[in-house]
Amino acid sequence: MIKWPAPDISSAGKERLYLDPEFLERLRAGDEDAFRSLVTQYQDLVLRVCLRFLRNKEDTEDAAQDVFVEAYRNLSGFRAEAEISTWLYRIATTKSLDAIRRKSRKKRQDGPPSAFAGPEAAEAVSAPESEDPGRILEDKERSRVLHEAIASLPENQRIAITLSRFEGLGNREIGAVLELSVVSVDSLIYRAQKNLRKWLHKYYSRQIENEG
Amino acid sequence: MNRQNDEKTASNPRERMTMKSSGNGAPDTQSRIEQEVEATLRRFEAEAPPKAGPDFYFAVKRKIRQQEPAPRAPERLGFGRRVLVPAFFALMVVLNIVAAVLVFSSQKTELQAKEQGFSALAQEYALGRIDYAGYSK
Repeated sequence: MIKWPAPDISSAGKERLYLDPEFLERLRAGDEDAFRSLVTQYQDLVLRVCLRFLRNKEDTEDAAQDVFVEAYRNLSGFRAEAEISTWLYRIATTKSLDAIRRKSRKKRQDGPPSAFAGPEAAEAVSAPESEDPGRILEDKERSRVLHEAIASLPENQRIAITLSRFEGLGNREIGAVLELSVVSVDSLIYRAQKNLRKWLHKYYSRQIENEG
Repeated sequence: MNRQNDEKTASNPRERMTMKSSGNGAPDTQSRIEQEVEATLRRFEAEAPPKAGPDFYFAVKRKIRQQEPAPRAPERLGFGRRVLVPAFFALMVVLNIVAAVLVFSSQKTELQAKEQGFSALAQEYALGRIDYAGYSK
């Protein structure tokens, strides 16, 4: 039986709960109902993380499915004392980065590389916050720019800032996902924010220069 | 998301930025850049979380099944290995033995016929005993 409450998917980071040992036993025994409960419980969390990295609906769904396939295969290796969400965050991050690498390799083979956040990407995530079409367009453009900036960061910084700012994870939890100390995560996030600001400054300076 | 009240609306963000830059009082470029950077960083909090479709679980199940190794046919392979292969080899051995016996017996019959022919010839011409061993080679 599942003994945790239904996750609040409206706010990030609420699904961080431990697995009941009895439920974990059922999962390890290959109980299909138990696995289905696990997928239903965590599918939005996994999709959200994959989408933050991949910025594309098809790739995100594919990667999120791969996360649960991997989880299904490695349930025996899951330690009961670890948070299931941390474990899934780790798999989701790894799978998303693998997908990005595969895509980059393919792009290098197909032609000149471009930023992984294409024009369709912003559309995949951004939700309109107002009815003003100008504002919706502006939000989409800003999201695109932000993700282009995030994509320019080194891998560890990208993961840390994404989990911190989009998912609302604390440094201790990010440390558990990345297998780093809290101090290292703190430093990573600091550098990521600094680099993001630098990138955005450069970008908007260029934009304003071009307009002038 | 906190929005600045004095932000103008335009059909696209670049146009909006142009409007800002061409506004009265020529605002400082650095502060404009700062505004843009801050507004962009606020997108961190504004993005809507996606939701999984109703068939997500079935897609996962399908993928697990697809990636499982294809099931072999152990019954058929077992039968083939246990019965058909040894039977085939046994048949080959029997066929080889039969072929060897037939070839050997036909050679023997031919040799005996030749021996009889030469014996008859020797008797007819009173040549005495002839050693056929060398002849038959």
